[in-house]
Amino acid sequence: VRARESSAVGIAKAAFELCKSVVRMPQRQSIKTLLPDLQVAQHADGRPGRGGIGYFAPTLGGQFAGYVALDSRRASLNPALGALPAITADERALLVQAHREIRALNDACIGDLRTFEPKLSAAVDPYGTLGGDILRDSEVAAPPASLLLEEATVAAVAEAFQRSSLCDGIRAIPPAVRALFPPEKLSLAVDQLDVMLRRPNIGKQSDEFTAIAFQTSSSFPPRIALEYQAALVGLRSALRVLDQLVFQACYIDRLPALDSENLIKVDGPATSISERIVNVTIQPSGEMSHPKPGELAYFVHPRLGAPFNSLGEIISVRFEMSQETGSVIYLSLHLTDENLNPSPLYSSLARTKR
Amino acid sequence: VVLTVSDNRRNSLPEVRWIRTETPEVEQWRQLGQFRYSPNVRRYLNEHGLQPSPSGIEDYISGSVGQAEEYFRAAKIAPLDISPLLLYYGATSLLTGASALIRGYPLSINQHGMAISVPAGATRMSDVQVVVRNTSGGALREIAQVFGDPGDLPGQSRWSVGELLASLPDLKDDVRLCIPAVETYALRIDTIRKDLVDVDRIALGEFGTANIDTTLTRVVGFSHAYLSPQRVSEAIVLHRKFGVRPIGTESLSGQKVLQVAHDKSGVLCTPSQILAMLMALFALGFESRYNPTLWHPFAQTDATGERLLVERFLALTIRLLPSLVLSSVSQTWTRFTSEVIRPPRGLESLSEAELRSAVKEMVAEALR
Repeated sequence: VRARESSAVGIAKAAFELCKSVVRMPQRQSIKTLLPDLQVAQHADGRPGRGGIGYFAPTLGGQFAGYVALDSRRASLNPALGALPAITADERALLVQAHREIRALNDACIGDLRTFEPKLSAAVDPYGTLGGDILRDSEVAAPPASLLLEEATVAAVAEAFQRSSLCDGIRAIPPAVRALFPPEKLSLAVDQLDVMLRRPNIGKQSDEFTAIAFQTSSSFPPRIALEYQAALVGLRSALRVLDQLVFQACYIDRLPALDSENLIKVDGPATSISERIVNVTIQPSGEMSHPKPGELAYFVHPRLGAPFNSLGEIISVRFEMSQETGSVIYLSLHLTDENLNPSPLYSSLARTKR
Repeated sequence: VVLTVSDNRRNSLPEVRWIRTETPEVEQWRQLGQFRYSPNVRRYLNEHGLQPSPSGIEDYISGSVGQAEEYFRAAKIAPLDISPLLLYYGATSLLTGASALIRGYPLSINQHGMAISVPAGATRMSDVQVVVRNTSGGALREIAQVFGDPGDLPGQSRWSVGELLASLPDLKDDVRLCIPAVETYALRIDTIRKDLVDVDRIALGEFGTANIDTTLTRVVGFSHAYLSPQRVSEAIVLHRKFGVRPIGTESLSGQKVLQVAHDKSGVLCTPSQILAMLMALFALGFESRYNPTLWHPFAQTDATGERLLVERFLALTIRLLPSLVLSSVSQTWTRFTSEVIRPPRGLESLSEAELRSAVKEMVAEALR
């Protein structure tokens, strides 16, 4: 947190400014109305809601992409999903517009890395696994409009990314190592490492990473290859967190907090070479009534305070209801660094270079 | 700062000190009795950084504690006609002596600090009221400086004997039987340990006919210590906020209790158990001494049906008051047990559920 505050161009700081500008945008109101409406299973007056869409959309893709994908692929979905209520044309246009803006934001953040190494774009794309068929041709062809994001704040975030240790680290990888990964292999390698690092408590199983970090020299090719992958996963994860920050800013004014008003138990934060995790038990309330994996929350340690407070990405959720002890939610969060990166693997490797 | 062992607001449930004995009533006076002797008083004052202290303080403390023990001893075998008065004298002596020990200087007392008012037409002992006098030199206010909070006893506030007895968790059921109209001032809590977290539960019956939300808002420190209450089928579940010291007091049996504040002209007041006992003793002692018209039918024929309640209160005071004072003096909850005390030894201190959970976790980890 100190690092984030002291770094005038840090990614996290620039991203928070971007979110503030999103909250100020008048056009946001239509999305702020639509997204909660897509979470309601049944309205207070008994009318059926469209909660099914809100429930299934995140399973198809993050942020607005899931809603667009659900609508685009309705015909090919299984009967249960195909029977979900419809999204109107206007609503789809809104969701598509917002999705395209977020994609444009990501492109701006990747910046000159696309020309530096063209194959990187696909590898670090948070929507890379979604498939390219979710937008209709007319939607792809239409000129992008500015609905949510101000040009100046987007530029500030993009600059922060370009000057980050992640992008610097990628540029510093020797061409010979980069050449080891043809495009399809690079995306696959990044996917696999990304999936592994997003598992809770991966830290207990990362002995191999620890051995490479502490027992190999910085010129050892497998180590450099791992650094390359870790930097790419870090960049992809930072973009994912950025996208989610913008998405949440579209429908809530403040990030939900895990703090003294809902925390029952805190284990951690515990840090390993590849993970900074905190496991908490909370009482469901307010914005933290139905947290979902992938959502972001600000973790405020009630006892240890500022040095341990951090933005966290929820990676696992378990609800429990009992007549004996009431309702609680068990959450695991990966805490992000000043680059919005939820895994410390890349910075661990950089720190242990010798 | 003195930790008071029976005050929600101070969040001050200190550590528990177990003393093994077959006769707790004798043992608690044995523990307090050490302060009948000057060397022990000197040692305590030294250990607590209270030296140099005013001359004569050792005799003040020794004399007070010794006299208190004799009053308590006499009260135990005395008839109901005089036992409340004896206990009031004994309580005052014990509390002034212990206050001097804890503060390092004697109290400047020249009056009770309270008066008695009997509402017109009152026929029941529980209707008798104690009126707090906030003048300097009043014993109640001075004692409250050490064993409670004077802010909980506003000047001219009126306290019926019924509500004072209802403030004592050990008398809750007796009060409810005898004085059905009295409000709820003590909520007894069952604590369940799950996943190494303590979860507090209040049975719905604890609230009687009172509104649950309103009652909980009158527990001082509640919202600081607990998350929003959850209602389940037979109870209110309370999750403690992480990192916050638990609030509440204890009954004689060691059950956790939340004290519900009394509303005194808009001021929420939660007198400690010690202060509630002292005020009730004053009322009963005064009535037995000066108001035979009310006292005689109550004591001789149980005309109001309150005799059992009052007798139980006096018995509780004999057992509980010295114990609470001992806890304040030693800054730890003092509990007596006749069972063999074993220090916690690893797995033996875990419940079966916790053991099962730990084994499951180990197996799952090994299989990963």
